[in-house]
Amino acid sequence: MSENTGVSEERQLVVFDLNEEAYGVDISAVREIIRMQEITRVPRAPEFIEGVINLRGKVIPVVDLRSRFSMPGTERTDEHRIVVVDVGGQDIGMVVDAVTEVSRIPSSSIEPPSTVITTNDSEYLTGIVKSEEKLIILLDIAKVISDSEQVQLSEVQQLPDSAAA
Amino acid sequence: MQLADDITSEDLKVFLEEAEEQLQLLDDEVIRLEKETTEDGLAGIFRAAHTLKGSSAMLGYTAMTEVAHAMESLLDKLRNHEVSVTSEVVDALLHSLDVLRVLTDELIDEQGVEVDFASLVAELEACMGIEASDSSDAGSSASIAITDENLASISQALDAGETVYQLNASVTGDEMFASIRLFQLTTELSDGARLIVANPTLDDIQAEANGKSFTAIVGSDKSIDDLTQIAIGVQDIGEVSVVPFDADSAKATQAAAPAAAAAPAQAASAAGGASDSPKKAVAQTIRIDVDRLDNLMNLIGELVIDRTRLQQIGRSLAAKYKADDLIESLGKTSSHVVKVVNDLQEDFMKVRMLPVGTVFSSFPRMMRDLSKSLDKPIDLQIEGGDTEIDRTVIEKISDPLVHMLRNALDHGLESKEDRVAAGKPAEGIIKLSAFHEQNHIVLTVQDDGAGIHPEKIKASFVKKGLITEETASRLTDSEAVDLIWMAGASTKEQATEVSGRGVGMDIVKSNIEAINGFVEVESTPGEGSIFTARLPLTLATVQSILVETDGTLCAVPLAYVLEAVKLSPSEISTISGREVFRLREDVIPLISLSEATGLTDGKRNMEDELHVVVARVGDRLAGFAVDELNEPQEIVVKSLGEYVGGARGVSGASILGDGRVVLIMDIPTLLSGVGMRSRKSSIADEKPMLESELSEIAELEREIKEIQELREQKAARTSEQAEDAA
Repeated sequence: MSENTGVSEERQLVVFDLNEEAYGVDISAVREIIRMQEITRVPRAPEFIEGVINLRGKVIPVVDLRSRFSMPGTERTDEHRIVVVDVGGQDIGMVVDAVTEVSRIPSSSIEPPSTVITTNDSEYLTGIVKSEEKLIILLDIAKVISDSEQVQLSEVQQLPDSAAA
Repeated sequence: MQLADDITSEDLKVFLEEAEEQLQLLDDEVIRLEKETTEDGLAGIFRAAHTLKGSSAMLGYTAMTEVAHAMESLLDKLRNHEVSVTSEVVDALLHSLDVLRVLTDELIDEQGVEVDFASLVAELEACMGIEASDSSDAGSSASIAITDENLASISQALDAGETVYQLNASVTGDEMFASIRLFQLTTELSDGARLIVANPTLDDIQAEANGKSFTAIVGSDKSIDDLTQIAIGVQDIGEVSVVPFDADSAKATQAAAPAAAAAPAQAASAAGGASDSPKKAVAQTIRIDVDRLDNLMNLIGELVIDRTRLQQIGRSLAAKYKADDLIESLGKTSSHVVKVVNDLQEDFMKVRMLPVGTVFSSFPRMMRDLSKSLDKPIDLQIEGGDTEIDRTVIEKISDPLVHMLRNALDHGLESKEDRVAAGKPAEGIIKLSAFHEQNHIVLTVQDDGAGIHPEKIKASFVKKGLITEETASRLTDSEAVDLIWMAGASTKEQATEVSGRGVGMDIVKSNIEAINGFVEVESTPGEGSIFTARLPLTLATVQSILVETDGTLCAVPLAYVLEAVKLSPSEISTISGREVFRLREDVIPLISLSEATGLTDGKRNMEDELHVVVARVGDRLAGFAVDELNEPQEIVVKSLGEYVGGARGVSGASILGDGRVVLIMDIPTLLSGVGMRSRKSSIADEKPMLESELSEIAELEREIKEIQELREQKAARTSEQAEDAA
């Protein structure tokens, strides 16, 4: 598929694993990919924010993507990476299970997400790439982060209900 | 509001910066004018008004130009002793400044304010006694003097294949703008052609020693039409003629020239001599965007971290491979790097420093107005304006200082009559001083007023229901005076519009504490009060003690740390469900730091000795239990960014030499959390938090005193002293 040198548009994706699924983000949003390092917890920060790390002298927040997507937690391995993305001018790290490849895909192979997934909370899912081997779920990383605040809010709002029930 | 068409936002920014500078200068000088009138002072004011007029005209901001022009006319009269400096004149000038400020602000936020120019101009003109009328040599034709030097330039131009032209032009518009237009014309010509000589010269124009006509000799490869277009392109320039210049005829006129050239030159030296001096001063400084400085600061911060890391690596290598030549030279190099980085950091800190006087400069005007409206004459004395302090701190101290000064005038000083009755001079003294003390800047505001009467304060607090009479009776005098820092405090019977609606001093205090500062008051009834604020020199770094709690490394700013103590379990008692311990005279609530921050639920081993950091913010004390204490060190403050920045109890982060991230504890917030907790657990009632806290603490104190009294006191003291010594 990547031999496509024709006129059709291509997109370059950073593909990573999360809970045994493949996700892709546009390479232009990714600043760098670093190995796991010690993460300093921040008290009373939003729950999906695992803490902060030192990125060459800058303190940046790190989001646990598994927790962000309400996936079960997992033991950290050597494969784990922090994908540093630029969201509205701020660097934010995302913990992923592994970064598998940087792949070039023709825009034509991207299908809208609605045909495959139906959730009301999927604004950050921008499409699905079907390749021979697997499905790659495309993420709009800015939305993943910015929606988080709303997620946080709705969680808080749900608390009294669940307590009552 | 209408501006010239081709004004970019960059132009506007430059203009605003300059206008702010000139307005500030005007403020200072006009206030000083009232005290004593000096030639220099007047010249300074005139220059500033003139600059404003010029730059606003460049911008096409007519409203501002008109006001500045009217001011300038009055100032000119003052300068020539045609009008003398009276209180009305100063009022009129200050009024103009206010209007100019409104106009400047208008540029920023475009509120569309209406400014009554007519009455202002009338006010200014009234001061002049007569209608203002400008007299400058409008009609005189400009001739041109050719020097040998010019002739050399002419031959150069000819050698370069250019044609030499004589260009005549005149200003058609308002004479007020003549120098501006000619300045623009000169600049355009210099850009588009080789400007050999001009009359009036650029210096003349800047000194406003010009009429409406302009003559220049230019060399250019452009055609006559092109040059004419350049000249006509400038606003208000008309009657442009460009003719080829005849160098020979120039020589002929050379003889007659000196006389013609001398006149404007002299005029220039009169006004221009003065305008030279600020130019020289400006040349020695440059403006730098604050963001750039911050960026540099970040980079240096990274270097500082790497420096420490480099040192550590060097040491490990030295330990591993002893007596290796390479290691030795690595050691030498790294220690040199360390030294350079240290110097760099230190010097760069100085770059960010500003004299605190930049904040002070607006105070004389403010206090003058206030003293007039309250009818309390004052002598405002300002000392130590050149004391330097980091930009970040400067931004934060202005509001608290304004409030402290207003408070001193409004509440501190008695009325004129009362002062005289008390045998004091009618004019009160308020003294603002700044000085360095160790790693702090100390700011004091002192008045020679009535001072704060502990009994009056107590009575007022009891009356307002903020404290009970019983509590009041237990307060010492100095504790009573400290009540002014609390919300709802206002000792004056009548709140004035100036200061004192019972909000204020508590805000002063919290503002100062928010930047790791500390403020206190001392007062002698009948003699006055002195407010002392102690602030860190910079907010970019903070001296902190590193502590470990529940596996997390945290930094506690040293400014809040009273002391660090070690407690054995027997020294901890429990009162109404809370753990407390005694430190000399105080009973202090004890809480684990990890619990206070919300990192954990704070369960700890009850058997072990505890490290406790005793922190104080104002009158709130608490002991934070930690697992480990390290040496204090200076750390670089970094922001946590917007996604985690809101975390309560954490004010920022820092990166240590080994690359680890530490969180900087927001001690004021954590301490107020402890206070909240006490309220919730003991008193369901919402309102009188102060009262409940005060009485609770007092209650605790009494209980403990009774129990422990003599039995433990002596033993405790000796053991604590021993710890202090250790």
